[in-house]
Amino acid sequence: MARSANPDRPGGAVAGAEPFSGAPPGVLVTAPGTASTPLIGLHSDHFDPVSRGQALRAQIAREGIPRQPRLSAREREIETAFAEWIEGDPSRAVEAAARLAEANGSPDQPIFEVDSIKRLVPEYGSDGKPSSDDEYLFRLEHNHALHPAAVALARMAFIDRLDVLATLPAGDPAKRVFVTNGGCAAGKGSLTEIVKNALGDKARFGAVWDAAGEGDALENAWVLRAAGARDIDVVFGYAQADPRTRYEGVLARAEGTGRVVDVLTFVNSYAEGARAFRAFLDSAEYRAAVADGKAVAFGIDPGEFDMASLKDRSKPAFPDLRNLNPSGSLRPEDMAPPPDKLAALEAALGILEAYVAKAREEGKDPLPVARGALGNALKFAADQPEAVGAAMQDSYERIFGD
Amino acid sequence: MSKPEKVPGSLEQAAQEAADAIARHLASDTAADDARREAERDARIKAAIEKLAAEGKTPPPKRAGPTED
Repeated sequence: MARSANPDRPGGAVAGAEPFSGAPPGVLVTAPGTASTPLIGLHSDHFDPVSRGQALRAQIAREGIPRQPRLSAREREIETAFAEWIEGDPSRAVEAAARLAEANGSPDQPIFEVDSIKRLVPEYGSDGKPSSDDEYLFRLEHNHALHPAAVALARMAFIDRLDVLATLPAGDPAKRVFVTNGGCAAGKGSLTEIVKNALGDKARFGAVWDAAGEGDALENAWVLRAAGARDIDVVFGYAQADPRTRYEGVLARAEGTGRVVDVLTFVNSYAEGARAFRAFLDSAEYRAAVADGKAVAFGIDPGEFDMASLKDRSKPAFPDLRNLNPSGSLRPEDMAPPPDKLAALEAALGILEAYVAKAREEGKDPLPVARGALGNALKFAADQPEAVGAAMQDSYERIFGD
Repeated sequence: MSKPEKVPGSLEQAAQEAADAIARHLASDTAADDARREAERDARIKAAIEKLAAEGKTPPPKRAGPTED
């Protein structure tokens, strides 16, 4: 994290990327794509996990919400408005996030999820699906602008909830939290739905941290420290999936809801996410928590969805589903190796280009989705290995060249 | 999915029950079931936001009109 020193930084070094609008002078800026900061999120240790919620709100009032270093002028305007609303009254904003978490789950088992917080922004729209073309386009184009502030709000509300759980007596079954992990569209939503609907009292959790795939699994140590400081147990769930097939799901969701994850953030959520989660499982901190009975992890790999199951209910939807650790706690060696980033990117770009071609054949305009999926990613291209940047640039020219 | 030995009430039991429930869910639920649950969740979130808005606890609209291209 650094403070913005040059609001007039040049942008648009990559063809296709909009010129950048610098962060306001003197505000904190994120460091996208570094070891502890995902492309569009916050530094994994931005908030001291041991501090109480009140202290975090004071921190935001004092320091402000960190801003992205590279945004278009329009994105910057959206980011600034949302950040300033939070900074103007952090307690009000955190209360809103907490109430959304209760609506997402229940008052006894709130689910803290970054994406639903973006719905507080009026132009984004409060429903799961956009209610107008304006909302649809806003969602497609402004995920980067809203994400860090939404992460900050989710973390502050989550810490408030942990402060409440900390007051429960030792051994209370609600004195444990569930944390999801996995790439974008890997099936994390199923994990939280199960926790809410299927487990009942069998495995009650006092809160769920439904990690955004965009976070690259970098928040686990932060959650473990926050929970450990309050004598709260943690169950980590991991959804493993093959990113080479999953971008179809991202585009289908984008078409239906306007929520789109750009191709590079998507690929990182698998490649960097798997790497980070394996490192976390191998960390002395996590292993000590497991040995103390304070943490445990499990993993599933649903495999590919069987389309035949839609017509024949006797067929399982995921016939190749497997539990990555049938006994004990998940270990790094139970997981598949992190996927090759370039291969995953090329597969996602191929899926995007096929989507664009099909939409054009059907007389639809695919470019709004393509801008969210690829145009947005180009702001990171200059920092990527040459082959990664070139793959995105070539794809951009094939899609937008005419 | 195989059934590990579980210590009743333990954290590991909670994790394995979660894994087993996910397996049952994925093996039996249809896309329609998922869509219904998502619609119910969306409706709860929308209602919460509308209530927050009525209390003045959401950001004000930034501007009217379409987004810039």
